[in-house]
Amino acid sequence: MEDIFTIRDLNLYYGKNHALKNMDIALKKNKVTALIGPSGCGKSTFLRCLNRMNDLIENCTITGQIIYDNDNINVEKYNVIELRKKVGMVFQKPNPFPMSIYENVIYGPKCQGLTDKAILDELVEDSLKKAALWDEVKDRLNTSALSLSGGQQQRLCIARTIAMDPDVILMDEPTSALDPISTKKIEELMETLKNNYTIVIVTHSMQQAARISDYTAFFLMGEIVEYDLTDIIFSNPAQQQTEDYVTGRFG
Amino acid sequence: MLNHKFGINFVKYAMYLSLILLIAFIALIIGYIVLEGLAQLNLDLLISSNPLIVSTLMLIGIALIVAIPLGIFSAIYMQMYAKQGRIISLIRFSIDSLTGIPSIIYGLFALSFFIYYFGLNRSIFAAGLAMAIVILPVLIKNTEEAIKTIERSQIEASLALGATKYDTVTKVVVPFCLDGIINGVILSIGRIIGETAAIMFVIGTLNGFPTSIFEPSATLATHLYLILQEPTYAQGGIQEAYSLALILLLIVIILNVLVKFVEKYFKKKRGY
Amino acid sequence: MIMLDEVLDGIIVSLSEMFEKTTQAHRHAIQALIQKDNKKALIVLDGDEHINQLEEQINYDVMLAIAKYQPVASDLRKLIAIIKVANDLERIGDYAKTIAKTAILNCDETFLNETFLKNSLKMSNIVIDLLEKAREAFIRQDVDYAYEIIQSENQLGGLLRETIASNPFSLIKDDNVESYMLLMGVLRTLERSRGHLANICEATIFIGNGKFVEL
Repeated sequence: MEDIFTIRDLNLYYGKNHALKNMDIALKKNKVTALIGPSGCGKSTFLRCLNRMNDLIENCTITGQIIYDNDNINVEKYNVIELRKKVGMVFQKPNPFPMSIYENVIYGPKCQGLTDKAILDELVEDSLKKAALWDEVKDRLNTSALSLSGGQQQRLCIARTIAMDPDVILMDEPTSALDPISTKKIEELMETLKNNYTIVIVTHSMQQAARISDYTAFFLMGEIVEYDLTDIIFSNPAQQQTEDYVTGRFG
Repeated sequence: MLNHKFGINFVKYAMYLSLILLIAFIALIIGYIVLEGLAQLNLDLLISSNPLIVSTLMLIGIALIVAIPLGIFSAIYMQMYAKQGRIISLIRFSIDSLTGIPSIIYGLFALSFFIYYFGLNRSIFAAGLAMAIVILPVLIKNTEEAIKTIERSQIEASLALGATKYDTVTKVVVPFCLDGIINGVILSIGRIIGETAAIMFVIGTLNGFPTSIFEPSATLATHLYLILQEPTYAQGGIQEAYSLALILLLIVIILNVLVKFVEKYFKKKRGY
Repeated sequence: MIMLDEVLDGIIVSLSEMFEKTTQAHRHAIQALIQKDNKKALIVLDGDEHINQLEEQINYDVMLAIAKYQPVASDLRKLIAIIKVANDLERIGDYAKTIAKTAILNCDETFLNETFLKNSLKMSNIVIDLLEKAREAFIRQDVDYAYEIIQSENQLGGLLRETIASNPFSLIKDDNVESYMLLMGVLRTLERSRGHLANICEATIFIGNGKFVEL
């Protein structure tokens, strides 16, 4: 089993606030890894390191190595645009562009210069199918994306990310704003996606992490307390803090 | 209980009253101008006002051509590219303050800078530059506000897909700011048409039909001002003033409607 | 909203009661057999119904707890272990019933002789003792104690083997099928109780360290 991300001695500071402390972890390829932990403990911050989205935040310093594809991506001169093509992200609140469904999906490829309509059409169908949305929208690709329901919008965002053919899909609490049925659909989707992509998901729902992930990392106050197979974390965790958290004794 | 109900009713009726007064007031102004203006309006007058109309339109054109690109680019830079620190805050504060400065000061500045320092002729061009400076703060402010309405999550989504900042600005930000930008343009047009103090001293006087923008001329507003100062200045006396006012009003309405059509066209083009 | 801890405590109280009732049933049953006391035997037979009801209630409560609270880790292990232990206790209770039935049959016509009855008393007392110890180990969740208990039930094993190896005529009065059947009945219940006691200790160990062990 291959490691797709190797993080060594990662430290992140928001100004003086030491938000991520001495992190060492290796994420496995083609597996779903869940990041759990109480609010504000660094899960999302850590996730955003993997595609350098923390660059958008002022006053944020990151030290340490984040090794992806044999390269440390945490260096000034690393090509961030290229990174984000291979490491995509789906956000907590569905955020489709106020354009048509079709235009949303081809946004990324179009920015890369792809203009051949035949190829774009195929790409749209392929991506929407992979995101389990094709059947629901195939007759109205030119209508506004904002006319879709919350769950559909989120799947559209997933399709949009898939259209870039990434290796990794990062998900920041992707279902926390959705109803239970949409949530279930997306969880089923993740099960099929992991065959072709590596998925790293931040979630507040213990049940979700237990259901869908292969590996789980438990974050607490900026540190990774435990990282192991999900089965172990939820049946017999090694750390008392992990035990207390997953059984709901705190957090 | 009684007091409470009385209070609510009082507010309700006060609001109705204010609204009625406001509508009455506007109707009075417009009605008066229209009635008096129509009385004087005839084909001769329209033809003789032609140069004024053309000058006014030229002025608007120059001011917008200079100010719109400058304003939009500045706003985009300040919102999307600049580091949000004390310097940017200071600049923003200054721009906000500029929107409140009396026009006469702009007039003085234009006079000193364009006419005396740069040695430009008194002309529509100089007036256009002056007006560009007047409307720039408004345009920047409106564009910035429009950019702010774009949710940060959209920008993040675009960047997360591997788009460059440039792509994000041109494909996600600007197309959806058009509302705000056009709003700013409408406000600016209104300001330009009615402006006198700022351009009075740099535009010169009416010199027949304007053949070049580098020649002195007069706009509807400046001419109207001069008539009111010196009623004998005009051929038709003070009556001409009403007609000019009516023409001014009509132009404002036509331009605003045109801009709205442009907005509708862009909205249709992008589908929502 | 009731917290899972409260619910768990409630279920363990029921389980504790089940331990008690089962232990009591064995005490009464062996006394009924030794003292040829029909009344005591009937008490045991009546009491068995209550033990079965307790098991049913515990199963139901655990099922609801799992549905409502989606427990994980040690909470989940506890709930699973409780179901297993309740089941083992119910079986042990059944064996007490068997001894009580034997007591009734032996009352009217004595099939089993004094030597055997004395041995049975000894072994039964060990079972009762182990039951009480197993209960303590489970409630206290003392994994080491559970391991200790397993060791002592070897003693019971030894006594059983001795009895089985001895001359059958030293155990029964007459050489008839009914005698043999009653003899087998008692011995078998003691043997099987051993097995279930081991299960209870294994469950205690499972809660403690999440490992399934076979002892």
